[in-house]
Amino acid sequence: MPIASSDDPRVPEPDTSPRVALSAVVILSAAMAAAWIASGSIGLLAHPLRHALTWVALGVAIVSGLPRRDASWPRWALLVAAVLAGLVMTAASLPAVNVLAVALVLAALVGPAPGLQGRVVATAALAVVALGIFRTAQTSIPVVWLAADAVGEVFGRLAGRLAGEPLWIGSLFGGVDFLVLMAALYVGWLLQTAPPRWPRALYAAAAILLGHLLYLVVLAFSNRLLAALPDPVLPEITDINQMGVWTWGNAARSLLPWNLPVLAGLVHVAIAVAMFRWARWPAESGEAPEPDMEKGPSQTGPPRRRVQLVLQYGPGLLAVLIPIVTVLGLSRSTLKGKTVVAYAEGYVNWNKPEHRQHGTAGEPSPQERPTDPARRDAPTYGTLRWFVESLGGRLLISNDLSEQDLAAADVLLLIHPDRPWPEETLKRVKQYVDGGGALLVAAEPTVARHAAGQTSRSSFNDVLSALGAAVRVRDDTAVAAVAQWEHALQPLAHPATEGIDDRRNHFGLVSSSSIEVRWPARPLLVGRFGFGEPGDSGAAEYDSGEELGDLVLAAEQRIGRGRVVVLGGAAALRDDFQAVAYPTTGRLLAYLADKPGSPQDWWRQTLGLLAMAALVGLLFWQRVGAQNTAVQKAGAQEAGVQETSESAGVQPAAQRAAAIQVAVVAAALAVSLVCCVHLSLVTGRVLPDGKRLLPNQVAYIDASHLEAYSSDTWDAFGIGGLGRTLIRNGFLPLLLPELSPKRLEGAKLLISIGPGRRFSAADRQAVKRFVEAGGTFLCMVGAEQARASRELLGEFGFYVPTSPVPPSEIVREPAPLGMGYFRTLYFNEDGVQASMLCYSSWEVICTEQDGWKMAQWSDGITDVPFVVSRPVGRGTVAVIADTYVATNQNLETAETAFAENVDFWRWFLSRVTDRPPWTPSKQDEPKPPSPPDRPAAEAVPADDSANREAAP
Amino acid sequence: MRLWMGVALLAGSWLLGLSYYYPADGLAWVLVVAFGTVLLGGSIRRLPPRRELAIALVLLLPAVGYASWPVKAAPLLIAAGLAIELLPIPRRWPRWLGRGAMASGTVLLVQSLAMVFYASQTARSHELPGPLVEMLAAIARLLGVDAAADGSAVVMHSIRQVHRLGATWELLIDPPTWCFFVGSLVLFGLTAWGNLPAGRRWPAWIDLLRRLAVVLVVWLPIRAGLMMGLYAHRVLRTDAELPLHAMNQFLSPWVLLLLLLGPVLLLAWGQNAFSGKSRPSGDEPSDEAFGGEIANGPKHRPVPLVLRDLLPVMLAVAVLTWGVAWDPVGTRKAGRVMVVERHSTWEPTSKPYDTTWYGHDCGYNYAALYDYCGQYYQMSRLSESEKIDRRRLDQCDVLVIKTPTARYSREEVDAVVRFVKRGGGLLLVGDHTNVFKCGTYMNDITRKMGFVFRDDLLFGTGDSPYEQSYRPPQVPHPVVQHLPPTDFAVSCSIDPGRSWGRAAIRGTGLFSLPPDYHRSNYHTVPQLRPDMRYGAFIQLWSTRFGDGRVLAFTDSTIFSNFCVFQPGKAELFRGMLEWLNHGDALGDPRPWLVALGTVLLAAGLWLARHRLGAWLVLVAAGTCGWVLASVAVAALGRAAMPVPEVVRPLPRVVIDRTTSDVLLSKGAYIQGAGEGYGLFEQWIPRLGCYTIRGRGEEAFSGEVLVAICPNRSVSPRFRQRLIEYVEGGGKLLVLDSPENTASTANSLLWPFGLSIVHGPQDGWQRGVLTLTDDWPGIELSGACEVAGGRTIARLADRSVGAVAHCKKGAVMAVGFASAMNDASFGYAWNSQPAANTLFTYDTYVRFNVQFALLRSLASGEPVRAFHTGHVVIDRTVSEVALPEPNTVPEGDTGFGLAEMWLPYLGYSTARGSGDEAFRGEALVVFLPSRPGDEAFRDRLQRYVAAGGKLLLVDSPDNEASTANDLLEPFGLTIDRDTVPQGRLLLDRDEDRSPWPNTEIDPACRVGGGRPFAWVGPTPVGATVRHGRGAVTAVGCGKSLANAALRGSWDLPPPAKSLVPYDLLTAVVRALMTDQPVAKSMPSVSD
Repeated sequence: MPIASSDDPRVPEPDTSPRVALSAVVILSAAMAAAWIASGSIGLLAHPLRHALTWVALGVAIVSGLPRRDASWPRWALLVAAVLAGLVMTAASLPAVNVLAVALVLAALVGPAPGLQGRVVATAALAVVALGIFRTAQTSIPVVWLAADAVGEVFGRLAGRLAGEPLWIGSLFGGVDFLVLMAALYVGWLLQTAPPRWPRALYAAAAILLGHLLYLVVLAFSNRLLAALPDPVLPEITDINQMGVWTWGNAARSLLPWNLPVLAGLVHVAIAVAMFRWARWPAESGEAPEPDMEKGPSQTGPPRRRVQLVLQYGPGLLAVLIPIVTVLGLSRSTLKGKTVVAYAEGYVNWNKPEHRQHGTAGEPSPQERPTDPARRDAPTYGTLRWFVESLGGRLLISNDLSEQDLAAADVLLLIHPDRPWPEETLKRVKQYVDGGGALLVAAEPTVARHAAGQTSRSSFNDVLSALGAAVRVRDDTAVAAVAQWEHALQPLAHPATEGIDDRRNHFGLVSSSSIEVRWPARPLLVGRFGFGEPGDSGAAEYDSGEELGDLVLAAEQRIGRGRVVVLGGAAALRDDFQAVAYPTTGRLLAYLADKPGSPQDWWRQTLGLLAMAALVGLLFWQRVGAQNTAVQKAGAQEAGVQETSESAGVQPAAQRAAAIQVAVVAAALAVSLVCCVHLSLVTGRVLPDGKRLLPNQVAYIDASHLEAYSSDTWDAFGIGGLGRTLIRNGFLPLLLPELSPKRLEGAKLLISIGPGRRFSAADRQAVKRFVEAGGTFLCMVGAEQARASRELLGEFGFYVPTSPVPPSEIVREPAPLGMGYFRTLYFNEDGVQASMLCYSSWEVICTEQDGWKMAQWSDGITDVPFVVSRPVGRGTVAVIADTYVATNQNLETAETAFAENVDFWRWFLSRVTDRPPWTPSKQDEPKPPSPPDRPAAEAVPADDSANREAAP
Repeated sequence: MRLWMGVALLAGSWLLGLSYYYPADGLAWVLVVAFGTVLLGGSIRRLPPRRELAIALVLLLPAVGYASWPVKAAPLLIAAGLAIELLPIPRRWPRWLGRGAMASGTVLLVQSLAMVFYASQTARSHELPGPLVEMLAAIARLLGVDAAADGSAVVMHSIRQVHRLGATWELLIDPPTWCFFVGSLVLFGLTAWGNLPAGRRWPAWIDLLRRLAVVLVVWLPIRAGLMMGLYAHRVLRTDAELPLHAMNQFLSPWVLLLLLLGPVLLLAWGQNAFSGKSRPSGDEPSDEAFGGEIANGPKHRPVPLVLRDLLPVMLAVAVLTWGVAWDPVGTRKAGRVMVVERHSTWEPTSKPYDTTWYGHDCGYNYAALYDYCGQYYQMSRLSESEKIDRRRLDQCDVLVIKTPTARYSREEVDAVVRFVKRGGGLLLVGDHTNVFKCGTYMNDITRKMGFVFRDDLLFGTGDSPYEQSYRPPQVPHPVVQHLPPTDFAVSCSIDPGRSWGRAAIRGTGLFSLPPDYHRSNYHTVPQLRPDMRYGAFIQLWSTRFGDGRVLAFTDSTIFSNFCVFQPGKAELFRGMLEWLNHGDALGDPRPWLVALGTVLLAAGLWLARHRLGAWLVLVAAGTCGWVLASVAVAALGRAAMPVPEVVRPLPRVVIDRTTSDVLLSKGAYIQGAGEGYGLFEQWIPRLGCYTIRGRGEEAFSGEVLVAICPNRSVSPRFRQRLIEYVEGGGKLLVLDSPENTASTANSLLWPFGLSIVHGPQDGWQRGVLTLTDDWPGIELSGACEVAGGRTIARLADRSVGAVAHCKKGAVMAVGFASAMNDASFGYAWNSQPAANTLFTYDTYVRFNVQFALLRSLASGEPVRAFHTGHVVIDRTVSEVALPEPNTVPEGDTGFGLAEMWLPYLGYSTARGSGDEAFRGEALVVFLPSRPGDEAFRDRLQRYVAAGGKLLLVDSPDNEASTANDLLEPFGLTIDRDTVPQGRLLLDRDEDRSPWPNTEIDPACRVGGGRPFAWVGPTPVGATVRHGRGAVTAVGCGKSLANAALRGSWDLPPPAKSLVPYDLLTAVVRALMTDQPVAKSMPSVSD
């Protein structure tokens, strides 16, 4: 057999080009994964898990790219600093900042990375920054959001057609984030690898698009995949056993379709690995770079100073400026002196809960509006008036939206209009908006009810059409993949939503429709993980063809000189949810009334868009420069030119400079973004002030110390019932997200329920001042949760012993009062007895003489107080040693109530606040419910034989 | 990387093999250990000479034989590796694998010790110290969770609820991570010794220790964050309609094993990054992977091992084992046991467990246990009225405080504490979730001794959370050394604080939940919740205090009448008493032993320092020392504290498990769907005996042997032994039924001339069962005919029960067993024969069939009459209408239906006037309207004083009532002031009245005595004790008249419609059994 010689032209030359090392591939993969996880692209993840997985992916990248042990300490220090900064940045609630954290850490890894690995890492860092900039743009520039949504929709329709299953998706499920990162990576990769590039460029582009299409086709089949899974296994829940079950089938079901984007991530990572691993890299091959690629800054001769300055400082400056232009809103809107005119004709009940009306809202008052059977179940909005007044405004309910009413209106509020619109009224509304009026349309899933000759049919789209708005409320229900859209929302930069995160349901989303938005309308709030179920069926399952992901839940459009904001759901304004949603609704009403400038002004958006484009361009320009320097050096080495000490350091120095640039941009953009959002949040706050009301009606329920109640309003452990009770007693219940003196200044009542976080010295001081100034502080805490509030109560002379007591403490343990829940008398005068039902109570000790034992438990021998109050300064402090006494299951559910406990609160509140004293009378004596009448949530009979069988 | 992964797999295997979190999964454990072993293949390069390997193999064999799974795998793998090494196998791969087995076995051995340490420490306290809790909360905050540290919980917010996630050692350093840490150090020690020159071994090992520590310090917070993040995500994704089930990830062996990838990758990649060398490839064992250095020192020249090198190590381990495992029994005391009834209304011992008392309170009662213990000890009670002071406590050696329901005074607490200090034995029996606040009350005492009862509730992680089986360890605490495998109901746990003591029972595979103080028994519903603790818990704490001993046990339920004689339970109580009935004459030598063992071990290692190359032999010697010491400690314990002698024997009934495997009860529950015989077994002690379940020879250890539906083959030996048993005076009861199609009953019966005929279902088997003439018939759907012997039961005209005598003994064969199975007995022990139950199932009659058969068999007498009491309906002063015999009662105002009802309660009835009225145990007077003469009243007083019971029923309609003539001598009156129509309450507080509070017609007020029924605030029923008897007056007589009873005669359950019958039942039964009316109310007790 002839042996081919190296001179034989038939023998291909051995490929001497360097290969990307496995560690570089690992870093690249981990970096891509980290970026997508951080940006929330891989599907529905709770934020904590998203952050933790980002850490893990970043950790893999860091460990794979650790410097050698003998690396210099500044290099180590730099890396450690970058990792710590990255760690802090991943904790931010803004996904864009989380993505930039990844870029920062990657940039720090460029330094220690040897040769080719460094280039790969630098390219990855650049691509991740590009993704970070895109995410910033998407959340702050509506046109970018709309464009990305359109791209996703087009891709989805295409994939749906290929699959034969309709697919209606937006940017999120359309995987635009993946494409953005891949595009940036693709460009960087193409610029750096050796020529010829065109074939490779085509193959890679085709692979990316085909891979993406593959994912979308699978997504289109998600319903069939679900059907192929085993039926869900549900646990057998009984009164004595609530153990759940975990099965592979159930777990897989929970992932479909919400986490299918992971597949896109895997596909793209595989493509990227293939691109980088098998490409030819120039440094080792010595091939000359393409002429067109030699136009980097280092090839143009000595750059002029101005250009150098721009290149050096431009990206950083732009990074700082972009959020200022696109996000920052410093207007202090207010509702003071403004009039909100609400249209009476809607699927609404303008009454509020009253005494002796429990459960679902009482019948509408004849004085206000004749009974309308078609609106029998309409929710109540009675306290909206108090709320508007607490903000300094005035609420006018107009029956016909007369010219006079509209002339007085700073904001026109249409809550779920459900009657046909008279032409004249529509004309007046249009004139009002065109003339610069502000209109807030709060829609809901469509109703169409007919009763006793009355018809209730949603008509919000009629008014929007009449206005010529590019917004339409869809005839659907936006069904969230998670309860109350927690961790599944994306607010866009806007004075009404800026800085409000998607936890604790501050947007008051309960039932909502999605909104169709076309330019020039803009989304304000987007539900990322949900789908639009046709009609108002509420809970349902996703079916092919329904809109999946990126549902617009609130939008705005400028029409004429006016503004129109449309909400997909009106719950934020309801009595039951106002306590949660008021931070948003207050800002929204103030924004509409005040009409300040907004980050969404066209000039700011245009400037921001240009700045972002420039920033990306500059970064790539500089990257090309670094690359060309490297190629130059490689060429010189190939030509046998003696390497001087200066030229030897050029390659890593350029590489490092580019990396530092990336790091600076990432950090600057992140810091600027966080600062701008925070400033906007702080300046945009619209706080209720009870002093504007007579009497002061603001009652804050602390929500800043991890209280024991459920944030789900009508959960068994929720406080929806307490809210209604407070309303009945003339209070406006609001949750308190931060305990500050400024907030408390405007309140009359502060309620704390089993806090899980200690009160700081500043907190305690604020509460003390509040009470001394005449406020009432009420703490409901049993022994099991007493630890966190011990210091605060101690300052007022109260002590609730904690339970359990560890063996190291030689004290007499507190004993729970009674065996289980019990009923006890709190009022026994003039032959009238009134009792209350406790949940699980403990002794409260008041060390001061003036303590008033308002309710006690007795075993016939000793009386143990568990409700005690005492005056402090001009105010009152009261302690109920029973954490859950005011939760729904012990007070009032959405449907029914413990009348005796509702009365107890009436009596109690009239004793500890400035409300007129109320005492139970004979006719008020409620009929105590027998055990079967207890609400369903309380399924434990007094004589719990089921458990007793198992154990005493 | 390969070796790290091997160690990780072995570390994770413990959760699969030990039932530490979830029940063991044998197959998965084998696979994981095997895979781990393969990954460690060839990791040991250098071994001692063959002779020493042979010695090691021999020394390991005892451990292989002795150790239990999965610990046994450790010596077994080492031994297998040694055997392969010693065998002349020509191929290389078996040797490569054998060396992996040796390494794997050694790693497992040390990990097993690490697990013991982990379990013992976390069982004492799961809680992390404060700064670490703060750290976890900070991590959660960094992840974006609104979180804070509160005590030992990380409080985290979600929309659904605020989660108080337990900040535990298990959360931060789970068992696999802990074992990975320990195993890595061991494996690296082995490889360092094998691969590095002498001078570089220690520095390399220290370097690894440092690196491991760094990796863990970096990884553990990330791991905790990942787990918390995953938890938050799963909470978010849980359907709002379903209970949360997101905590299982913390217990899942696979999740925890997967998380070991973190440190494995960190170590492997970090190694490369630090050393700058490429990772090893291929299957060759990697020096670099562990040390990054290659052995290039001089060849090791082994120094021959001699016996004196081994002995110190073996001895040291033996002494250490002795010091740790031994609990000196001490000297026995007089055996005076006092049960404190003061401050405790729960689980009383005072009311006998007999055939007349049923229901909830009858089950939650220690009477049977008290009698059982009376066989061994001199039992006494400290009653409610007595003082707990030194004088009284000096009268006992062992004081039993069980489930107090009221607080002890400070003086009483001090008296108990001083009693123990002086050398007394104190047994505290608590229960779950601080029920009745018993934990709180007992902690007043135990806190002074340094430990407390936790207020938690332990559930099992197996199929049913209510099940927890317990098997004593190989080296048991003396308390449990005679204990067969047993079951817990649900218990609480002990927090021993820093007290010095030993967990006599430590359970794993458990999770604990805090109490639900909202519920009437504080019982929490089992659910994997964030505030749970999981892993190991102390369920019986043994400690010494002063000169005395204390045992704290956490599950009072298992000693209740309804399950005390299930396997292991009575034995456990006896073991506890026996342990406490000993004193320490010489103090506690264990600390000295541990110190001595440590010194010896150090000395042994020092002596063998030049022969550490023979580490395998030293390890084997250590295991040998462990086995020898363990065997010796266990044997010594048994010898020092044998089963105490029976002084006052109780009759023992053995339920045979040799020939029968019918379902019997487990804990509080019957097994199966009613086809078992758990209630039959539970009812036997009502006859004044106790039961055991026996197999083989043990079956013949009692006075009566009961074989229920035997279906297993009877060996000739067993049959022969059975004949001897009966001939020697033993009694045999064989129960069979048509459902037992594979019956082997005749193998037991033929030797005694009896047989059971399993014929075809030809119809005759259906009919009414009768015993003797006064027995109510029981409708049966089937029975087997019994041939031979003397008939004692008939179905139609055929014998379905017969007895035969054989020398001194007797044999009874019964063919209608299913009439006494769990379904026939009402499924649950706590049901009380109620009006509706009696009508539909004749349950009470069935109970009595069982009692009658057993009594007859045991005594050799004929089956007794059915009725347990005789009630006379007075005709002296009462003129109410009663029907003619065998006629249906008519009219609304008569009391014929009431009279008819009494036999259903087990009482025969008669009508009597004058002296005849006093011939029963009770006299019932309906609406007295005639003046009785003086003699009658005198006779009545004497009758009651002597123990007779009087029930007087009156009504406002009885205008000529003479009730007060009869009642006033007893301090009772029936006023004529009519109480208007209203709801009848059994508790003055309407909400606490435990029954339907039905409306009744106007009634008379009853004055005096102890009221038991009210209308509004007015008593309409009261009772009073007089002499040895009692008198009950009822003012609502109209509720017991025919009109009231007839209205509900044919009504089906629920019992609310049967209120008049329930009322009558309760009043009569309360009178006859001396228990409160409210407790006797069937519709309440059911």
